[in-house]
Amino acid sequence: MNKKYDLVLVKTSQVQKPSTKAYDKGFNFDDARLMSGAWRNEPNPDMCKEFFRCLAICHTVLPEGDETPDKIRYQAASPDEAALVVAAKNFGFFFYRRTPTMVYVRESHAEKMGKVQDVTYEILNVLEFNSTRKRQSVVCRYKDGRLVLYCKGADSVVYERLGSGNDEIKKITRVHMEQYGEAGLRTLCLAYKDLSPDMYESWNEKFMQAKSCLRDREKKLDEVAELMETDLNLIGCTAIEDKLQDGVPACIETLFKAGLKIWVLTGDKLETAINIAYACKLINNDMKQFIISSETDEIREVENRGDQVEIAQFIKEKVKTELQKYQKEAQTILSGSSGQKLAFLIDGKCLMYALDPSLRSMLLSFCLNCSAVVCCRVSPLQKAQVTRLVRKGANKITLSIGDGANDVGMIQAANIGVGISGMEGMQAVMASDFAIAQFRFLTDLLLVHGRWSYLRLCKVVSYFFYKNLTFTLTQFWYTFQTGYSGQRFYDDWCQSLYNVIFTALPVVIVGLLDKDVSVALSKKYPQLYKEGIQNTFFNWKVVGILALFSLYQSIVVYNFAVASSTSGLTSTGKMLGHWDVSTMAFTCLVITVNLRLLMMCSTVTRWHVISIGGSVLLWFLFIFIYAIVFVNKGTFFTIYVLMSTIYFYLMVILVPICALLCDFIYQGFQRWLFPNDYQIVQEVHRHESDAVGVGLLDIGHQLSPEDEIRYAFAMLPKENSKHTGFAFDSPGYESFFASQQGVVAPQKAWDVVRRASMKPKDKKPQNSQH
Amino acid sequence: MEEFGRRQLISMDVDGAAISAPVPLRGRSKAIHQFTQQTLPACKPVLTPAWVIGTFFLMGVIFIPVGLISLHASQSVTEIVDRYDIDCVPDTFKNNKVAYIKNASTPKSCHRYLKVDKPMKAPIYIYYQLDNFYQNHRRYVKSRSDDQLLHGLGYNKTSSCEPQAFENGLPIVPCGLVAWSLFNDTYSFSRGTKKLKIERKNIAWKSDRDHKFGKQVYPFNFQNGSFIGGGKLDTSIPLSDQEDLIVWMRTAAFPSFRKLYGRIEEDLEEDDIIVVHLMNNYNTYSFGGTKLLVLSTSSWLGGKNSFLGVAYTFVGSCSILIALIFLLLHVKNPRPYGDTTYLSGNRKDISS
Repeated sequence: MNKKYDLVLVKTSQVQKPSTKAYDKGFNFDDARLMSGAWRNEPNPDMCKEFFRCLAICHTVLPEGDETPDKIRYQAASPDEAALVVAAKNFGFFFYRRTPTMVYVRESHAEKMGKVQDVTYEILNVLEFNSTRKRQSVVCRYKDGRLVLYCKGADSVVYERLGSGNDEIKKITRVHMEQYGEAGLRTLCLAYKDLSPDMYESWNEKFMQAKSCLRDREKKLDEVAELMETDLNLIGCTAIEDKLQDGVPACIETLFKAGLKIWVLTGDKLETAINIAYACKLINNDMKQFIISSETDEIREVENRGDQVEIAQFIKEKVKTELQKYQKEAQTILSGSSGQKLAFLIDGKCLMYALDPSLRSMLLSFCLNCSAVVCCRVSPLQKAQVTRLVRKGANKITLSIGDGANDVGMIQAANIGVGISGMEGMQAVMASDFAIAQFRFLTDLLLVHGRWSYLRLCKVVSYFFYKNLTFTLTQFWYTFQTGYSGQRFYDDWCQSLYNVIFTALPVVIVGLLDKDVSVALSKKYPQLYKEGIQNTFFNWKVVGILALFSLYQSIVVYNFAVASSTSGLTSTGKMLGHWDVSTMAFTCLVITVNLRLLMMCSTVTRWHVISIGGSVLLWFLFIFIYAIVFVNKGTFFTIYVLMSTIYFYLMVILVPICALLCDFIYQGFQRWLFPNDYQIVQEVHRHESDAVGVGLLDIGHQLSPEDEIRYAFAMLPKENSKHTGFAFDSPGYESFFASQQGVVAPQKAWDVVRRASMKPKDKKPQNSQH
Repeated sequence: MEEFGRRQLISMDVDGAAISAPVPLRGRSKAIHQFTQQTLPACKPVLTPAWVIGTFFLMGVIFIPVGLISLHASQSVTEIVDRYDIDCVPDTFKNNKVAYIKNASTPKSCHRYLKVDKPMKAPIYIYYQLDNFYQNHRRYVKSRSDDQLLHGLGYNKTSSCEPQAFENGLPIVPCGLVAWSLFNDTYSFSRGTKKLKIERKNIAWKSDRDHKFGKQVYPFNFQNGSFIGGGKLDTSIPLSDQEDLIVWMRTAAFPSFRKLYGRIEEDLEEDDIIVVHLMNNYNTYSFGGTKLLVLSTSSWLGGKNSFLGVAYTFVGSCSILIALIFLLLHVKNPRPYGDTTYLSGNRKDISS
């Protein structure tokens, strides 16, 4: 009987609760039929043995640390791979050492129950994994001379390369894989093939040739590998659970409410992808689902005939007709009143044809109508293509988030790339604009910090525009009065320092600290984010209104100053000169412009007060000194002359208020009649304390000893050494201090660059020893 | 690693969950923490109707009285304005005023009769007003040397004074077009047969007299060229005492300006006829300018300028009006503050 064993492995990178049973990290599987050698009693132990050997041998994992099952650590390109090796270890096939040509496996129960033996396998060739091959093979030689090729890979590619016969196991495995896929697991097929020495030798020659090729090596290697990976015997399949991180569904739901369209681009199978989409609430049963899949009988039939041109034409035609059909359906649903949402699923093979220039626009317009799009079985290149399609084709802002090396392309193609630092290495993080530790932090990144950032940028940019326009316009009005000669209204220094000192700091403070609603509220009302998507705070209307107010204010400031110069301002009858008037106008202007900023603030902290008050004070301080020091300037003594009049003080009160009156009225009416969402949220919660956690800070918690130590370390005076203080430096940190103490730190692959740059002093003697 | 640990904690803090940094902070580090984590205590001003209406009412209540007081001050000032540049040209020269003013031999004296409508209390300020005179033209403003005014001949970097820096190879003190174009009409007044005393001292700002114009600097080589711009200066008096010049040198901001000429230190009664004896020397005819003589009293707010009072009153009344409009709106069409049905998402639902 062909009984087949399946593994369910959990990639527990995110499992945090220590379970009561002492499982290995990455292994969460319990089946009495298989564990601790029980598999030998099953009907087909030989097949099981092949299965486990395949797991133990066919990989590119590097073992690290002590060669005992408890202490060993596996370094793998992907956690999936490590998980499979860990699984093999738990079934009694403990892979513990790798040399360039050998793999050492400590096998328990393999030949006889209870017997442990160290077995070596000579690795002859490794046919490496890449995204087009979607499989990985290893050719190895047993001690007894048996030559075997072990292969593991995606079901689609492995099934294509199976030998005839054994239909039953193929059928069962396919059924199992579909089940696993539906359960949201990642599946791999395992297969092996016995090789005859003659056949291997002839093939190896070709392989070596390909390997030493200078041009198109990759392609040729693939072709040669193709020759070998045929007539495989299926031995089973594995399924790995890729646990969703904490809070992913909630995060996606929130982002959904925030008006973002979410597309899932995954390398998983269709069934897996659908399940994950369900799990993270991207798709629900109320949605109308459109699926374009290459896994249909028609396509399989054509594929079996093997004519590549025919396959391509057939699939393309099929994709086209389906897209057209779906588009029509989508139109009727959208034009109807049901308000049903649409979801679209497509797999990589069909996507390849759908991305064809002739179909691209149709695909895009259809996809944009859907609230959720899932592309499964897509290659990294396609991920980038899809991202680029949306970015360029639809002219939308795209954000890509991913954690794996295969997401790098799409992260770079998007407007905003976000990398999740995690088990899958640092490639994504290094390619990204923002790195976060967990997917759910995306909510914070977008809804809180992204939103604030947008708001602040809008305020800063529009304020800069406003303050300069107001300033320049007063100067502009003056030009008309000077016979168009270009005489300056303000003194040179005042004019130069206007942007540098008198109006600089407050806007920076607003740019740093302004927040319209608190962190908690930003997340509680995700729809606030839509204001950013709709560009509410910075568009022509906003700028236009601001320009109008600016115009009005400049007229007020200028003309009020003009009007004051027609008669004497004191009881002594003396008249003001040009520089007196301009100093008065400038004083009014600085106060007006700074107060205007205060009106733009949603929150006023002490820094706002300090900076705005400080700017005005700085102006007075400046002019007090400037008006004394420079006797040969027109501004000499102007401020003192002005301050000897009551008129001046009345002007300083009147002008800013009169200038800002219109703004105030506008803001009042706007809030009254056309309130923005954030304003309503502000109103709802206006009595609540904004400070989440601030109160808690003061109380102080009982520190755990660990925290105390950490705190003590954090409070140590900071060293300026480049080798401390940064988490990711730790390898260099170790080796640096180790080398100081004469300890040779173990060489680490990622340390090479660092070592080269550090150039240790004892390099020469080391060389001479060799 | 410690750093990393802290960073993690902070990220959780920002996350807004109930977790807070387990580190009690004090003083400086607390302030820095609050700043970097953006948890500074802040007040959140929300423009509620009460605030808007209250602010406007308050503004109205404060501004209108201030405006009225200012207006009153301005109204209390009496002003007599007399344009004399046309009438002081003899009929024979009416068609060629420039020739009249340029001809040194033609008599320039002129008499004007001013009727006092309201009693004017001393001091009564005498101003001359020029219109269409661009004392703020860029090249005119530039053409002076404040250093020379203070240091006299000792200062010789007077290139900014061109074209009035040197004459006959000698430097001019005071140099520049501003000084060159010094106003030189003179006025004297009599009531009936009695001459009115004019006080010509203390008409310039004290700071100018004391610091800007040198006490040891005497006019030199001034108005000696063929092209006479305006008044001449007594070379025996230092610049700091030439108050006419000091007043003139404080250039006006706009093409129409008044400058103080002197004070009459006697009260003028209603229906008094004041005779003005003036020397119409200054050439405003060539550029179409006008000359006016102004007699004005003053108040604590200065001369006759109702602008400030009007502005205050206007802004105050506007505020009251707006407050009323807002109040009416609030009563008639109240939008419940903080009503979530007004959120844009919900609003759409209502409309559909």
